[in-house]
Amino acid sequence: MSGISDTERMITLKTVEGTLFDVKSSIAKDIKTVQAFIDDSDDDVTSPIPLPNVFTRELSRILDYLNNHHRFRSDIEKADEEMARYDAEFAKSMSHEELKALILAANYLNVKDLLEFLNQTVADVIQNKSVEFVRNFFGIENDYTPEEEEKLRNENEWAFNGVEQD
Amino acid sequence: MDSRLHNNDNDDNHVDHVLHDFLALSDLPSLSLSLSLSLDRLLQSSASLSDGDHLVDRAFTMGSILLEVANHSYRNRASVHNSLTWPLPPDLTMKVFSLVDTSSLCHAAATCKLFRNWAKDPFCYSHIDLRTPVPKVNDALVATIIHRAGKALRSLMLGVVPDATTSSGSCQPLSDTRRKCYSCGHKRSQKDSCHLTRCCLNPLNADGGALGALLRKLHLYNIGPMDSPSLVETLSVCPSLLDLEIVGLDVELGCILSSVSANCHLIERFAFAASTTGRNEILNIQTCSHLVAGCPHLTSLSLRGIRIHDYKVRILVKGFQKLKYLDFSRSVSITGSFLRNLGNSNGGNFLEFLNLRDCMHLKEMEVARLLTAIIAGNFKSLVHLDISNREGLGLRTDRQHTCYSSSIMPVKEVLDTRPWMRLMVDYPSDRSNRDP
Repeated sequence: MSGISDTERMITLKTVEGTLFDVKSSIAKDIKTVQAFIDDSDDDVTSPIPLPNVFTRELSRILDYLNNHHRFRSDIEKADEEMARYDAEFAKSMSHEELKALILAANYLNVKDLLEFLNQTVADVIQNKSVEFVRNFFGIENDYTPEEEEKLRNENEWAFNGVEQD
Repeated sequence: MDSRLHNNDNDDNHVDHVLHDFLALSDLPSLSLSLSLSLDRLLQSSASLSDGDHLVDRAFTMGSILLEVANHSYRNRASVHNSLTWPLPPDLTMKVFSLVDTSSLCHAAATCKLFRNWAKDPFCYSHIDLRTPVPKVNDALVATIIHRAGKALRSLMLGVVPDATTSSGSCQPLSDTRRKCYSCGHKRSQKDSCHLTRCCLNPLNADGGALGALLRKLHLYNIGPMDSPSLVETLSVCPSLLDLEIVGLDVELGCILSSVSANCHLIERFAFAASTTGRNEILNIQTCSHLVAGCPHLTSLSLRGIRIHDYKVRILVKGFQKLKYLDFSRSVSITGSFLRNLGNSNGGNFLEFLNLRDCMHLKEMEVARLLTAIIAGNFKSLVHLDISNREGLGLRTDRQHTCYSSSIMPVKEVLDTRPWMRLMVDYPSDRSNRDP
């Protein structure tokens, strides 16, 4: 399964800005959009694969994530622990804007594990937060009339009891 | 028709002009003052007293219409702003919404219209988490939320979890009696004012168990009124259940396990923690062997704080071929002898996690035997072992130091052979301090 050898085929990816990234084909497998591109082309892919929706900052983060996870998986004993620690750091290191951009990139590239992890990161932000916190964090504006808002809170009164202190 | 349309167009144009001019009025030096003076002049020049009243009324009406119109535009623009700001497409948003607990989902829906519309999707309720730190969920709410999920229903977590696993944010202040109850450590006896009743799972049973059949995961915590017959009835309509956790319920473990063996053949995880009311959970051999036969896919078994004898545990460990996770912590009867000659092809070969914490009758001799077996290369998948005991092992009053250096507890050797292993061996360092 590890399949990482010196002779492993490399694939070149090109971001919006034109930055080129060399990626091992075993890593590229996890990037489903890239893999589909490779599968669709008859010849060996030698020229860089253009990624018209992905910026350099995001691609570099995604590759970082995938490389590290591959490395962890090859070391069975401590895999889970180190991966959890790495993931926690990874999530913490991002601002809201970076998180947004990364989710869109991961979604476009269809990197399943990372996307799942990022979804969970967003869910953790929403979990147990007041309406006002969520609005502030994501820059969302209140588009309810006071009556609509009142009605919503009354409908789900149980959920709003005692949360407003945070 | 044509001329009328024409007139409307004219009116629209006129309103546009008036509003444009009005809104373009300069704020300075004081718009309020100049409007006030202007209205005064109009009033002075009005023909009669009633004309004047009419003018003031119009000013009120126009003012409030303008306010309403501005609010409306503001909300529309906010909606547009939100749809541009929120980065996730609908499917990903709903995925995120399905990951938060149900209370947080209600909050998210109250954030903006965009979220509310997405939060109407049944998929958002596929993983219902109605655990609360204090009782505030009732049967009607459970039914409502389950029906919101409908066919999307996959998992249900329900009950009172005073520990920090759910929010601290949505906590109500604890009442005095409850606070007292928490502080003396009876965390699993919140039966008094729990609004849930024994019927809270009935929506799963309705229509011949149409919704129960979809359920993969069911976790129930401290639902005082829940009883064995009700839970057994629900389990009988949940053939797809993979993960069942029951904490602090006043139900008979034997009953539940029989029902699981008979109905939930796919189950992979079963976790049970006895309520502190002190029911003596006695499992007979037949229940154990039925469980083994009925649930071949079980990989995780957790029976905390129950009375079960070693030879029955042995039946379970040998029977469940795929067992990875085993937790018998706080058992009042286990000595550890069930582990003899296991950890190989006899059974327990795939065990990764073994928790025997605070088993009050766990014997040092048996633990030593287990550790020796590990050094000899048995239990080769084991990465986590907890044999800590707040009473010390085998009722000995050793100091921690004595335990470590004890020749029959080869803790150090185990860690030498398997440095990656998480071995928890905490014993009271000085019992006289702890038990005055």
